[in-house]
Amino acid sequence: MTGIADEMLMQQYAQGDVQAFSQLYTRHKNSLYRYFLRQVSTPELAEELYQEVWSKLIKASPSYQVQSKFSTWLYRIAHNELIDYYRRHTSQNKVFSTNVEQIEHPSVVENGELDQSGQSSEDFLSNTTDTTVEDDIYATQQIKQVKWCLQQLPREQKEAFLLKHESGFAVNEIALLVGESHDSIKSRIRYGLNKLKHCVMHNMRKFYE
Amino acid sequence: MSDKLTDHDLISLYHQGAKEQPSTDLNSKILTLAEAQTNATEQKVEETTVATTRLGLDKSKPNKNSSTDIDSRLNNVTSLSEHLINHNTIKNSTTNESPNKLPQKKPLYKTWYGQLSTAASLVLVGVLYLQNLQPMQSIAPMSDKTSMQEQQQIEEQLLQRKSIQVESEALMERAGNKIMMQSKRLSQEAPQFNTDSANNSDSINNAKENLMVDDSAANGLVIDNSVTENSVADSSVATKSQQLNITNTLQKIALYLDKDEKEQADRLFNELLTNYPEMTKELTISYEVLLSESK
Repeated sequence: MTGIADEMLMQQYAQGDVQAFSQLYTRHKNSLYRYFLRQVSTPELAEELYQEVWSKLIKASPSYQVQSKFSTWLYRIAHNELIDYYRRHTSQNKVFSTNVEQIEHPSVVENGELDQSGQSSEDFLSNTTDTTVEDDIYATQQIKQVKWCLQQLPREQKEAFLLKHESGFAVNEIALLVGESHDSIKSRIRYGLNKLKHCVMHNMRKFYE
Repeated sequence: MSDKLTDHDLISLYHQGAKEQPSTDLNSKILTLAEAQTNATEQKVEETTVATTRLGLDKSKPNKNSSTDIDSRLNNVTSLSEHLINHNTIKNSTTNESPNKLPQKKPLYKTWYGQLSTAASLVLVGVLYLQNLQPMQSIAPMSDKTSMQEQQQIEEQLLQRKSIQVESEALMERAGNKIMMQSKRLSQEAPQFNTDSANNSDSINNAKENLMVDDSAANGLVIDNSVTENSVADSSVATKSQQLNITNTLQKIALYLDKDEKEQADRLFNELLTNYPEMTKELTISYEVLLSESK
């Protein structure tokens, strides 16, 4: 990350510089959005929570003081928002059960149907040579499987994975942010990755069968 | 294509697929919200400025034509607030206000019952003070100096009393010793005196008994044996007290003689003689002995 530090930009915004906020927002918007998108059932809900986080941050901006990294502060608000969301709902399991039901398993995507990019498999195949086509199909399937399998992970493991590999936090930063020990975060990430790997490989084998 | 999948592969696959972004609408919503917040802060600052100008506290600004300044500022604030209201109406979901705010509770001291209770408690304190004022004054009417002086005087008096007591005790001891010595000497020198005194005491007792019998007869009372026994016991008690009295007086006389106060000693001796005329002889002898001792 180059240019002015996040903390400096936030201070500038607190003094009334909207441009500084715009810069800050551009830096963090995508990863924060995906952080929510991967953990809740629908994109609408993700948008709602995402907007709420920024709204809270904006509200708190006049009293902002540099006590920790800006990104840690931002994701702590996000983490709390997510926890509140889970609490507001009757049970966490219900959220995840609907989650699993609503998400379309990538293996059921049939030839001729549109994938997420809006391109049909037939179109995709006709535009490429045979060897590369096969590789590309395989890669695309793998990506889809990764997304699907990530959704199936337990909430804690999923969050730890996302904070590390999506938002780029170190393990100790995640521990601080989530309020857990360093070791537990480490094991969450390890278990999460292993589960993800097994899930993807299993689904890929199934896909080719 | 291999079946193996490393952590690195998995993470790179994730990054390849993670291309989702918030919609432009959402982005603009949030940026507008950020702008509105900045405007609101500015508005607050301006309101404070207007207030200080109205009160004449802002010395950096001239007071002349201040009304026109304030009017123009007020117009600006009004237009800003209108702008903000419009923004909030359009971006309904991004408002800063929390709709379900509880009404703020009025502080107790601002309520009528709070003020009333304060007044009542003050009155109560006043009444209690007045009630306790008189006893407090009676307890401590004097100044500190006078009380100190009195305390010192009392202490001095106590010390004097103690010293006098000690002195008198010592004198008494000395006198007692002297008398004991004299009595021993007397008993050695004049054994006749003892028998005489014993006889005398017997005669005194007899006389007393006779008197008591006469009195009882006069009253028409029958004297029982028990009554006579009691009277005998009474007479023995009386003689004992008599002896004690004589000894004490002789001790006092000895003390006076030690102090060279012969007049006082004579006076006591005369009293002794008048009280016990039957013992004149014995008393005279002992007085003479005391006189010779004192010399």
